[in-house]
Amino acid sequence: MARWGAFICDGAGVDESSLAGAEVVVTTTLPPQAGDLACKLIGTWTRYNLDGGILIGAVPELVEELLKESLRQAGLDPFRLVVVDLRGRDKEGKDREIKAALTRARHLEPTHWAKAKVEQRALIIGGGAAGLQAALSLRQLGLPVLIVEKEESLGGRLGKLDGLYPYDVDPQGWIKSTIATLQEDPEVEILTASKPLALAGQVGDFILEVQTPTGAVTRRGGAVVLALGSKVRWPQESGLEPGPRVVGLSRLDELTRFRLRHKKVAFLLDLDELGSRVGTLSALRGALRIKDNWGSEVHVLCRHLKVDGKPLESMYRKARDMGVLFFKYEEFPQVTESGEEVTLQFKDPDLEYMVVEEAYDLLIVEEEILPAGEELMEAWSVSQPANVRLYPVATNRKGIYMVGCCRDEMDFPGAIQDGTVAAGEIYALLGEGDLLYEEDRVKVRSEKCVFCLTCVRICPHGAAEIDLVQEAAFINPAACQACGMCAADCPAQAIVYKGFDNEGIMAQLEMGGR
Amino acid sequence: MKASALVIGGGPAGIGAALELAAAGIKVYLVEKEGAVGGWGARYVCKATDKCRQCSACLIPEKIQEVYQEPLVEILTNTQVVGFAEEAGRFQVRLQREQTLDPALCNACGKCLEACPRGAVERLNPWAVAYSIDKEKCAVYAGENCDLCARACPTGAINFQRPSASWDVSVDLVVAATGHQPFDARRKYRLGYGRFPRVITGLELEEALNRIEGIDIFGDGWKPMNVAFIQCVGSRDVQEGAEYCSRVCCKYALRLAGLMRHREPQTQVTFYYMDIQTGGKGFSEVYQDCREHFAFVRGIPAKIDGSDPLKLHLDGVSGQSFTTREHDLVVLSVGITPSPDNEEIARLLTLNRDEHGFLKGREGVYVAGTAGGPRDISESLAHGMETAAKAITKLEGREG
Repeated sequence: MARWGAFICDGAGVDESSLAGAEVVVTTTLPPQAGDLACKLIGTWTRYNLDGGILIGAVPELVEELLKESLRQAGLDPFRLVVVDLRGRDKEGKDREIKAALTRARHLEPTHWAKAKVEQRALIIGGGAAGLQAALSLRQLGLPVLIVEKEESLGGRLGKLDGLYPYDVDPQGWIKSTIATLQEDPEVEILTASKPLALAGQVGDFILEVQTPTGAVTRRGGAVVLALGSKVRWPQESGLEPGPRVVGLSRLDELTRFRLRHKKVAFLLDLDELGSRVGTLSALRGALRIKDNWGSEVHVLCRHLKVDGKPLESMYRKARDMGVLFFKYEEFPQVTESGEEVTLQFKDPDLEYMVVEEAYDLLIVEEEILPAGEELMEAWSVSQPANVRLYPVATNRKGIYMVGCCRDEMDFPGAIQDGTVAAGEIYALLGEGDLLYEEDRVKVRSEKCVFCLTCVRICPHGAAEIDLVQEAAFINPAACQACGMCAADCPAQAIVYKGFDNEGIMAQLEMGGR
Repeated sequence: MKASALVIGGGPAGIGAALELAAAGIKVYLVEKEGAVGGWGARYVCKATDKCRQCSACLIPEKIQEVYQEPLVEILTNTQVVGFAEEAGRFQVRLQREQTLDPALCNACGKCLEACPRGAVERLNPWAVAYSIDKEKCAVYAGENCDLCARACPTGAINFQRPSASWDVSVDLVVAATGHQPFDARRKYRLGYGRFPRVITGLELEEALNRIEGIDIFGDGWKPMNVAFIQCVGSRDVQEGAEYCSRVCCKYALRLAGLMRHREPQTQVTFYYMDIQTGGKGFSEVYQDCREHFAFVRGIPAKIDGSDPLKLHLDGVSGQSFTTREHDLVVLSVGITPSPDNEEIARLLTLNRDEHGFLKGREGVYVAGTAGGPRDISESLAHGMETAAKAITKLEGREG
């Protein structure tokens, strides 16, 4: 007969009589605040030679992981733990829940854990600010890195901008010194003018094929950082055409390097109703630069002024102090181009909807900023679903991270934060040199598998693979996140999810458990 | 790595930092002055309608669970830092723990809650493992004689005679994640908060909607039909010395309005605003939905009359010089202001403050979350993680 330990949380309101008649050999009451509980409990499992545990509590989730950890450390299967949630149950209900849980416990099968050596190197795709920061932090944490950059040189979009950025760190200086640090480091391999071709393998051992100017090369790494940056799109829907008098915001630095004689310049923002913080940041920066360099009259037209970031409000005030005029519009302005001038006509709600008509000799238009590298992400089945739990840098696939503008519109400090956080996550994953995972939590019974590939299509984590030798699906245990979707959807019921097999759940339901 | 760290503050930033430090093998003392970790965010409501609105409120219970189960993190509630000294790159910190209510003895049975006539005993959030005593409401702290809760407690967890404990810890680094203070809406006298019961703050609406399932926010059966949200209360306000955007108010106000309409489709909502901050991932969809269903009026009311319905006085809005509008409920979207404790914290930890009063970090003493400036839940969490990752890198560099 199996031997079970019962762990009752303090305040659960359960007495030991509820457990009478079951195979429970020891009962322990858990204190509410249990920081070092895991190590204390390891002894309990072995001393009483237990097969598993039943955790009973009103808020059992506060100690669930801790008990699992202690099982793991005692060399037992952490899923040999049945959790009984007594929230809002009366005495009778509590007894019923406990009975049902004990029935379920009898159906639990053990799983096994495996340890695999990992490649400690991180493969970073993209050498812009976020990618460089990830590389820098990983090196400081002692892990080797590879950086793949499609351009001839590192630095990304930010590297092409001129100064005047209101941050503690000067981005251009930062990029130069970071590149220099990385180039000197023998543990950093940099492949410029190179393009990633294919990615195989899973967390701990990815294989990346890269097209370099001298031919294709292959590199292995335990984790992948996608720092793919962004691209700009001209707002065609607005009816505006780029030309000598109408230019995109992304070309601002090229223009302000020259001493032009534009007397009157307008920035037109929020073309698509929403606009972006980064667009407003670039426009404010540009407005200040134009005031400084050309001394022109500058107007900024927007629907909503975005000021929800650290330097934005102060830049806005500075721009106003320097004489930049800000207008609001609700209906898109009428734009007419004639010879040397562009004329804008609009109604400003702050001026009691007065019609404003102004002629400019340069109109700078906010473009749409879109994430780059969509093709790559599709090919590698990587996405960052709208799930706050994946915030900030995790993706659907274990060991693959997204940083910088390819995941959200972002300014320089945002990119730095992303790179740093991704490096920290990778260090936690690969720092020890090996990866611990459950070997047989989810298993395909190959004799039942009809090779329909349903699991391969639906697995949100890219863990379902094809085993051509067995002619069956294969759930990669290292990449699997035990969500159970494949087991639920397999039409042939070929996929087994241990701990959630039909027999055990039916037995629990028959006993009246929820 | 055999290092140790002190994290001050158990909100999302502090928890994020503590978890990241512990993952790198660092022993963490997580100090929280209240009776439970979670911070302001643990009081917020999930703003999902028929779909997730990505407000991140659900991240807090998840992170509380994680941090409770992290063996390397020692959670010290009701505890404050009272002494601080620096020596050869390490920090000697004196901690003081208020022990009137001993969380190790409290089993959250609720008897004290029933016994207190002033409602001074509270469970700060649903994940609090023990109750806390609100000193502002408790008679004992007001100098009166009372021991009703102590007598009601079957485990002896409450004892007003029990002295506070203090002890020293030595750590390699400090993260100050001491949080913020929501703007005190009473300061805007003309908006009537504190004088008119149907003028409430966004924070109060959060808590009410979290407590109940409908929109009967005062618990008296009355349902608001025509709600006004007033944005930028205490933000972008030169008079209040808050010349910054609080970054979170547009987001929570629009999501709360969406939730109210989801619970009661007849609810009408008007936003009074200067500029809607539409930036940020996933928010554009929320904004577009709101544009469809709600009214947006550019301008902040100057004054509210306490009539029924409430009368809002506006100047220079929608092409008219003076107008009034009527609403039966007014929600003030209060912003994030620096914590009043920041001055003391800055003095104790030798930190600087920025022009608004938010804390600035230095070598060895890092600042995370809203202690350093306005941030939402997920941003605070990410900032805590980033701060920890930075600190770990520094520490590794020092040892290697």
